[in-house]
Amino acid sequence: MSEIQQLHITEQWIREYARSINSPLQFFQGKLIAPSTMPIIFWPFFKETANQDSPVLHGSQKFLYEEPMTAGMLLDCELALLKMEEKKGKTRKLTLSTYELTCKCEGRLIVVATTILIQVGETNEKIHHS
Amino acid sequence: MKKFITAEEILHYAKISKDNASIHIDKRAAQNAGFERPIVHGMYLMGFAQSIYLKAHPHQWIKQYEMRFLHSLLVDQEIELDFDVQENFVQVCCSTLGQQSIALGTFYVKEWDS
Repeated sequence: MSEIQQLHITEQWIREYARSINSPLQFFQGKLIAPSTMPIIFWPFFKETANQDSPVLHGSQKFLYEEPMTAGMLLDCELALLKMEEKKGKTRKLTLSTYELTCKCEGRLIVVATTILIQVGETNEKIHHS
Repeated sequence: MKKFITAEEILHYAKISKDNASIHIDKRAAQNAGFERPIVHGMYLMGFAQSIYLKAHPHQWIKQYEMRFLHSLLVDQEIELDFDVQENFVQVCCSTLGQQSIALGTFYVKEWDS
């Protein structure tokens, strides 16, 4: 599964996000830089992740930048589900989903964000007896 | 560095990030999930940690950043952030004042001029 969205990174969007996490503003070649964690708020633009009913826990998160993400960029963003695996937790079944969000600007790779989400399911006992 | 994370800050983060999962903003939903009150977004914590680091190091850019979330953190709770800087690598530990580790992170930073 993968989905592509085009997103325009505005100065106002960066400022709002930076304020929400108390981040200082940084500039690169005169342009405002997005905080390193900002790509996570691109997720609601993807249908796959919108309106998830059951709560999920964030297992881990990684951002790997090739160059700063700056205001004015028009990003081609692709969100892909790389893998899903089930694990037995202490009391409940855990489903780990690994997603990769890749953002490019005019064909140049800007950032790859890797997310592992954990969905807590039925108890191990139920799984065992089902 | 210590920080008291308020429910209001998390409501604001939820609005900006559009991560309105009820477990973060609704007491009853949080209680149904087994928590005393709403829990902080892991990504708020990750973002806040980078903010604190960059305030002290304004001439650096975070090229790589990863974090593992170990435990959930309730809103209206104080946390402690400890940074261990080894040249361009930075480790950060977010823990409660009871010293339970909430999240562990690593940055790779670059100086703007390098």
